[in-house]
Amino acid sequence: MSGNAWPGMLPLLWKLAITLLPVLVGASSAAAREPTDIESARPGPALDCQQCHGELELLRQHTRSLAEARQLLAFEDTLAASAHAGLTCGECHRGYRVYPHPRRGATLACGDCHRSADSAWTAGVHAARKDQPVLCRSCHGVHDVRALAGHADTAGVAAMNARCLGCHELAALPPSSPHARAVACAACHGSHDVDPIDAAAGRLAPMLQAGTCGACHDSIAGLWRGDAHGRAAARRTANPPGQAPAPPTCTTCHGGHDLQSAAGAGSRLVELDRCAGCHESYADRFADSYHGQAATLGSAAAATCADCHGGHGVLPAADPHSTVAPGRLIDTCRACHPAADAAFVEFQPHVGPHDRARAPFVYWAYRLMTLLLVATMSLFGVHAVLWMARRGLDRFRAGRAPGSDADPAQGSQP
Amino acid sequence: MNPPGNAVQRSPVPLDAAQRGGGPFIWRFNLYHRATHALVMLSFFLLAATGLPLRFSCAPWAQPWMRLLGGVEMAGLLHRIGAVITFGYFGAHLGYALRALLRAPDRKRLLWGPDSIVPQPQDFVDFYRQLRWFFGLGPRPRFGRFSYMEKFDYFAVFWGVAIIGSSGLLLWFPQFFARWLPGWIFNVATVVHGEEAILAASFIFTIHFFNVHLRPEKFPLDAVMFTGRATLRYMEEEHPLIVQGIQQRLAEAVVKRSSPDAPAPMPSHRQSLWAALLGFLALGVGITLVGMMLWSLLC
Repeated sequence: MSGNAWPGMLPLLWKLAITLLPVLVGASSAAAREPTDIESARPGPALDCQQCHGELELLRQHTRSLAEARQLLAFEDTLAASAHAGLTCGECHRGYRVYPHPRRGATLACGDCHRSADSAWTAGVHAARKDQPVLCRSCHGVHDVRALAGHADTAGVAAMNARCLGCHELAALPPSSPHARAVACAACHGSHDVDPIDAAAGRLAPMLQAGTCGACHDSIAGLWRGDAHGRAAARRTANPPGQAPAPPTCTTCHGGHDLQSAAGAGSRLVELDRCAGCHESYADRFADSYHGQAATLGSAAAATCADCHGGHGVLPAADPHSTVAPGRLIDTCRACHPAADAAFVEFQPHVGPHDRARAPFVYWAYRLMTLLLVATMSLFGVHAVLWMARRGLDRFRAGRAPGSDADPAQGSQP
Repeated sequence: MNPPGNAVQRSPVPLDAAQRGGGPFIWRFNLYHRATHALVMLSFFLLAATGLPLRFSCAPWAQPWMRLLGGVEMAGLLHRIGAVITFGYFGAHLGYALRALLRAPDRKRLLWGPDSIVPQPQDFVDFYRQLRWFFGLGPRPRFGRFSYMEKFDYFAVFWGVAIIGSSGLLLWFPQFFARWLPGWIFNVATVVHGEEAILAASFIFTIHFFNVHLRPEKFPLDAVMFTGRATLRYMEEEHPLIVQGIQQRLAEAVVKRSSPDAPAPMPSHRQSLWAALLGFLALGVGITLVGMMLWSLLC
């Protein structure tokens, strides 16, 4: 009720008049004559709006609910600290100059100014939810819009990610992730035009990952493009997918949200596991070698796949640039075994006991040892079983012959 | 302790099969024998406990077991300590055997006959007779100082140390040995070392345990290798061929203390308890390790 508003407004106006008197000698009388024109009480329109919209109790008196009052609450300090500092209230909220406000005021949409962001948003997955789209304010807030520069530091990244996690609560990166504090969700997923994770042309589509991750990890992306994995991926892009497994791109090996630092304690096991995803037979035979056994049990010193083959820049042994090419193998082994020589590197890190063609000595050694094991254990195993049977039978017979307290050991001796 | 009316002295700890009959006792193993066996046990448990998780690294118990040991590097150090102990007792025993041979008053008795540990045709006859006994076709064979089972155990250590020791040294110092040997030898050494270890552990923790401790005559424990002492009755039942000689020597006036077959005091209650404790501990650990190996077959 406007009638109720006046007693509340009067002391405020009085205060205003006192404050502004030195600068607004002429205008103050106009304000008293035409009190419904808020704009005329310049210089600070925000200040003027604040008189009502900065007072929750006052707003509550003019609204039907506390929630509605809260919605109308806006502090000039918030706006002044935001990216919109310098804008007046009226520049977005048009038609609210006079009080009581007319029913048909209009607030500008964000996209009226931020046209490119708006069109990007329209293309993104957040706009695609027709029933309940994720709006600008869902991420940016309303009057506390943070400037782009405010997202550069760790606190800004954390604030931005907190907005995303408000809905995507399970997507939080574990604290162990090297991306956890430094990288914004938007850096990988996009900001206004957020990609669906499985979009064929999205930032995280397998063939486009090198570009997305390469925005920060550019030299690594370059290495990948030139190595066996990257070349296979390029071939796959050119040809329709066949039966072969998809070539590994960034997330195939590193994972996404579960990405780990290469220096982390668990990363070797992850590495073994991820490489084994495609190179199964090599991984199985590697697991039987000392390197594999020790690495499986958590050794930090034992070589795993990348120690010999490289992580990025993996090349087949036939390529002279490969770390496992005959010409470079000694240097690769010497990283751990400084005295490695030509004979030393004849060791086969990937042969199993069943590779008769590749490693006949290993095959026959295994066959011989297994034969010895089976023969010895069978001979003495049967020996033990027969012994138990003999003594069991003796005991049974002794039990059936009443009064016989002879020791069973002696019992069968004539 | 001695119930009235019981002519036979009651053994202090009746769990020990070597105390059957209650005495009189003789020395079966001297201090050197027992110390060597203790070192064999210690090093073997150390080697098996630190090596088997590596061989069965895919087994579900391997990772927690390694963590318990203090990690792969710590297990590797303990394994090498076990290796050094093994080479130590092995070398010492070669010296002991040589010395025993050179100093023996009756060298032939040491190398042949019922007192010798050397395998001989009689052992195959004994084995055949044992099989006949199993099938109820004859009496139990009468063993000398060492049955064919004990001789097998003894010489299996020589075989095992030679095979596991040499392959283990190759794997310990690969860069050194690669100066003379081709690189694939380390592939072979890995396989041989692991498979021989499985054979050794399986054999000791089942067959040796059965033959020495768990068969009905010995159950639950034979502590003769811990106390060094056994009763005459034990010798009569397990090693009857040498009992006559023992009784002759018992009749002789002066015998060197704790030399084999010399009369021995009955093990004290405390000695028997410690021997039983050690024996059961070893049995428990060994059988647990066998269980872990079998478990890994499921994965």
